[in-house]
Amino acid sequence: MIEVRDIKKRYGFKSVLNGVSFTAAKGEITCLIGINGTGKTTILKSIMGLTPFRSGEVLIDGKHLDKHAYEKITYIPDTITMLPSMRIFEALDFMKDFYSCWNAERAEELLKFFKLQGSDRISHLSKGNTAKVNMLLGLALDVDYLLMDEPFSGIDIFSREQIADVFTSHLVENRGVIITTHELNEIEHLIDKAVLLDGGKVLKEFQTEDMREQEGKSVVDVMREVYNQ
Amino acid sequence: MNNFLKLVHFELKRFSKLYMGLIAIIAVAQLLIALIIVNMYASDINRMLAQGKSSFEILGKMGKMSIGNIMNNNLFYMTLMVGAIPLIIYMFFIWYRDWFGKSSFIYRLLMLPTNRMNLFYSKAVAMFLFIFGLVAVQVLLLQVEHWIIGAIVPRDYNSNLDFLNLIDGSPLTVILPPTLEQFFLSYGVGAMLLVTLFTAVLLERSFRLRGIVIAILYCVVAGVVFFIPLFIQNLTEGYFYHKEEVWALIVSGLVVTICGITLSNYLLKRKITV
Repeated sequence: MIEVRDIKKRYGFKSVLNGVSFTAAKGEITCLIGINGTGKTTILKSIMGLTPFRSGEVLIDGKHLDKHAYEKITYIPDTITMLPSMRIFEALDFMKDFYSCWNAERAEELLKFFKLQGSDRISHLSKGNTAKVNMLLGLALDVDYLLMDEPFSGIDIFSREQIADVFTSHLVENRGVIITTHELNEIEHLIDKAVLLDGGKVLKEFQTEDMREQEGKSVVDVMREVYNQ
Repeated sequence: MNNFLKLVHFELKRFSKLYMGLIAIIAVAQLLIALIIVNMYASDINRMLAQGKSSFEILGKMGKMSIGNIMNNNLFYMTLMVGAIPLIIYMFFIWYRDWFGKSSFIYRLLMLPTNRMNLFYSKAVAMFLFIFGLVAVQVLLLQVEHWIIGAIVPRDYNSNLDFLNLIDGSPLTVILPPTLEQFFLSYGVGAMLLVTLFTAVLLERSFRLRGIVIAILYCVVAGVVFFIPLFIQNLTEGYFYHKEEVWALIVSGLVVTICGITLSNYLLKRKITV
């Protein structure tokens, strides 16, 4: 389980996170929801040790982040994390070289799934295909937790559908996923848990299935309630 | 192969095309300069011989030709600058290229399952290998220039001096130290400067605008600490013997380097922001 406990962070004089706390369990898809500037990306970066925070702590299966944790958790940001000059197969070789949890078979499977050519240079790919390569690099790691930042942002509808298909496939099965997205429609029915954020705080955290069963509300219904208050 | 060596290999590969281009430019420029200088000398001799001047008179006026004639030419030092300036710029760029541009490769580097200081050490080692590579190429070029002189200038007018002897006392001793002690001093100071510069970059990358001020202050403090033995020497008008002064500088240099590495380790683990 990923435990985010009372994280506070400032950028200069501006508070970005004001005591954010939530948990994300393995085997569940947790969605961080909020308008731009609510600190969603900062939370993901804080979990991954890519930006410091003033106070609070992040625990991954009860432990603080260290170098070994990167074989257990990975982050798929909204920009490509490989050199544009690389060909796709070179990027895969790079991953294979450094990560013992790299699953080459799954990488091949994902290449076919996303209909990508290994010989293509990353800089020559469309925005949608670049996003798919980014997904591939994260999904082909045998990690317990995946953090995805706006995976549907700025890409065409067909690429969006392909990426959305990932969430119903074995590729994320039994893994803990934290996702931030504006395009909730795409995956609303797949989310296990929603964390609503505003002003660097968690406004509401709930299990979507429980909400549907007990109160008959969808995630969007709860969002309307919370954000229109 | 461990992750550190993989990272060094990766850094070398990333800069290899530009580096090879740089070597080609230096080699072509320096050999052209050598050919021009040697040919000018040879034609001057031929002209004077045609005028009926004796070898003694010619040598009295022109002196014997040696690699020193090439090394003392300003254009020769310009070719050294052609190698040095891009490498100095690359000391910054080797970090900043991971943050800027179309990708955010720094995400990947910081998420590698390895000690983050391996990034620091691999970039530092890559920089040193680039420097040593250029020095090796320079030695090779001096040897080729030596052969050019032998091939064009008649034996009587060729001093045939070993270029390693000529380097001693010239500004080239900074990159080609004649003794092992000077080698460690020269490249030790180089390592200290590199660590200080890398730390300054990491300060800027950690604290951004505030980081620029902190980085400048850090460089000033590092400089002051390194030169403390010289300040003491000046204030006390010769407190240290020469050898003691050198040792004091080695110690102060080590302090600056170790502090830089420790601070960089802290910044990479706790403060770096992407």
